[in-house]
Amino acid sequence: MREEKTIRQLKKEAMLLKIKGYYNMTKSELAEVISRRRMELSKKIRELDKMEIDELRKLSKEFDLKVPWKSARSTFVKKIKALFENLKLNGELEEQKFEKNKVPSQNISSFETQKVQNVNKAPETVISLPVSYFKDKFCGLEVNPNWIHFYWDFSPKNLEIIKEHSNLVLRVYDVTYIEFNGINAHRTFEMEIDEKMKKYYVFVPQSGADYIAEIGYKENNRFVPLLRSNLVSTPPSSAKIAQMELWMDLRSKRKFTEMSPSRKVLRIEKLVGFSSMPTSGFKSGGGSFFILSGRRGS
Amino acid sequence: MKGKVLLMLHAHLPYVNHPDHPYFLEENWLFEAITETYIPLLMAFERLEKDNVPFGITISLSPPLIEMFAEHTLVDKYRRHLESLIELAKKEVDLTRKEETPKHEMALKYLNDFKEELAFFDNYNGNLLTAFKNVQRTGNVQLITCNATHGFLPLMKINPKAVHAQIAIGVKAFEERIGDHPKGMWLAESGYYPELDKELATQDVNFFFVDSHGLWYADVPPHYDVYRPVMTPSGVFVFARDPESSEQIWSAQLGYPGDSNYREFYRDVGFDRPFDYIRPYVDPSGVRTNTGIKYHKITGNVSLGDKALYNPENGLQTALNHAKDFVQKKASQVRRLKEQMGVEPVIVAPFDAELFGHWWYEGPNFLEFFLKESAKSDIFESSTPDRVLTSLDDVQILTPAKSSWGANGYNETWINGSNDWIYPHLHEAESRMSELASQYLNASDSLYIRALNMCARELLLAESSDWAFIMTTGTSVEYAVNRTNTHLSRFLEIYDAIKSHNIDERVIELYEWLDPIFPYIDYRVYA
Repeated sequence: MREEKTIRQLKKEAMLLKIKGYYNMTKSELAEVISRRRMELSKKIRELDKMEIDELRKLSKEFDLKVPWKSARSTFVKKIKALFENLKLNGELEEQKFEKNKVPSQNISSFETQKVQNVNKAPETVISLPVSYFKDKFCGLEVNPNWIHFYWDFSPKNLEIIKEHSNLVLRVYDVTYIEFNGINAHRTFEMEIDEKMKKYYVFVPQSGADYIAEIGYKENNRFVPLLRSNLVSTPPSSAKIAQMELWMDLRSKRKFTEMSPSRKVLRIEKLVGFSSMPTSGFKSGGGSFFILSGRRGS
Repeated sequence: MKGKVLLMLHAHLPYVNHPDHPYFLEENWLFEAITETYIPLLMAFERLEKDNVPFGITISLSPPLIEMFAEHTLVDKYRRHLESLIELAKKEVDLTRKEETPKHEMALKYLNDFKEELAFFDNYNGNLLTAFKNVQRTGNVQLITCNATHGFLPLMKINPKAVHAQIAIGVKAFEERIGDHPKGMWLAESGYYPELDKELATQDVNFFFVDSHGLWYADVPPHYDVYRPVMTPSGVFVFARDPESSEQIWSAQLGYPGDSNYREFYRDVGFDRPFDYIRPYVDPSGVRTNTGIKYHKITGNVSLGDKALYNPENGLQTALNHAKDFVQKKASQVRRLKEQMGVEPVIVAPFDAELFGHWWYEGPNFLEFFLKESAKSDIFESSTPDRVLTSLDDVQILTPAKSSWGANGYNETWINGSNDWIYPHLHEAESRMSELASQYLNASDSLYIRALNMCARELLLAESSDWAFIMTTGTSVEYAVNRTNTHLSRFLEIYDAIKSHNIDERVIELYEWLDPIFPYIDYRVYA
């Protein structure tokens, strides 16, 4: 079977097997060196359990396995075994296998709303907190300029009502500079929700804006609200346009204004760019005592 | 007039105290930070004072840290920890005689340093608060406080009374333990939202800090960008972080702490030595841990196994070079800004204190060199908020924008899929606490008062931003989850006991022993 492979495939295989100098080899040379390497590795796999930790470290390094240097023997053995089995079992190594590790970047802006993907529940411990407080509660918390987190809880009375209405709806109103009366919002957004989720993250288009949300149900195409949230203000994400400045003379405690000020400091703003959409941000400050652990490990 | 550089070190660790365990892994956070950061910094400040070097630096002591410094069981445990470290260092001195010379020299240095630290610690009778009070006497070091348990206030603001309590207890803890009213407050994670300044104003807190975009996106653009303090309409002064200074220290490529001559954090004898030998100095359960004795340098982009041996003289020389470089960078920044502004700039550089010493071994030396070198500068001086504010003639009035110093500048570190489950519980507990406080405003039964105070303590401990932070970062998650659950369930338990008039004194006594934080607390602060 192996003979049928193209030279490109063989080179790829040699690369994955960490064979040195494979690039300038001929097809037959490649085939031979690959089969020798495979024999050598299958011998190694039988010896893994007896290997010294230093040898394991060397081996994992050779194969670019990201095993922290301080890991226990068993971790090294496990990781190396997994890799070797992968190499041996498949006989051939397909490109896709390795590309699977690359997490496709997520284009957040294409979603209006996003269900919580990894609901990281507290691990099972002896202590368990109430699943519900059986009270009406609908709370909005701003995450950043464009995302709001909502969570809710219902009183038994409202739970009864919800049982009778299958399609629960979450509405978000843009009420920036408005005394909201239920119908005068700048914009109204709506989505169906699963009551049991008890929380959602919602994308809102405007930073530095005020939002109010309602949970309710639809009856004959009419929205019937059950709970209204607190006012949620998304943080601003850009500078305001210069206007009149207010100052105070600290000696006389007198306030004075300055008209049409010109900016004194030329600030170069950070331009953010990546070759693909980033998956998540990195930490810039705060709690370095914990954050650095495990960050620089090899 | 010279420009001003305000270094602000935020010293904080979550309250970790387990008097019911002779050894508890997470208590080492405090012990490592004392040995590697707090004592070395205090020693550096004392040396500067002794040499009559004029300098200025601000340190925010978080109330949990203050409370841990004052906690006798932790102080005793720390002393034993340091003694065992000295014992290990002695063994290392013997062992390294047969190994490479740099290793042996380094072992001698550790032994010497640890002994000096023990002498320092004993000189203050184990009370580091006295040592901090001592260094602030001349005004070169300005101590400020932080909100009570480092709760992240932007996600607490739907319960204004809980926010009020965080601020009030932060002020109270400082007054009780340091003996002065704190002039300033470091808001946990620099988390600010408009209105919070009013709360600070009513509690006589004169200044706080925000991240750069707190001023950039303020209701009115700041006249001098982040390079002069401003004042909020409620009369509280605000200092904003200079992005340039942080970048110079932190940046992955250009930042100082990554220099190849500096000591490598992750290569520790706790992992390098044979297990039988190291066993008494690591986790008793048999898990290898860091001991603090490390012989290798960062070396370069090589695996931990290939790190070269550390040379302390080179490390120190590098720190000096970096300090000189930083002085030069600050001087040219001040010159540039002054030209643009027409007045002298105030450059604010806040950092986690534990970066210096714990992560960056030579960090305290770097700071000492920097403060010494800047004393010679005629372009700028290192200064403190107090000194800057008294020299101020006028100030712009504006309201900063919602902001934090976390990833991407807002709240996502403290609320995301890994930790959002805590907020329904925290918010519920906060509103129940206010309910209790109003209902029992005039309680006179001492058992009720103790139970109510204990409720407040459990709530405050659950509110620490550290738990949410740890859940996000993914290390020690189990511990953070446990702490959140433990404090919240204790809260609910005592709440039910109070409401059903069925308080068990033994339970209260147990919890008072387990979580003795803020013995002077008064639950009425929640009313």
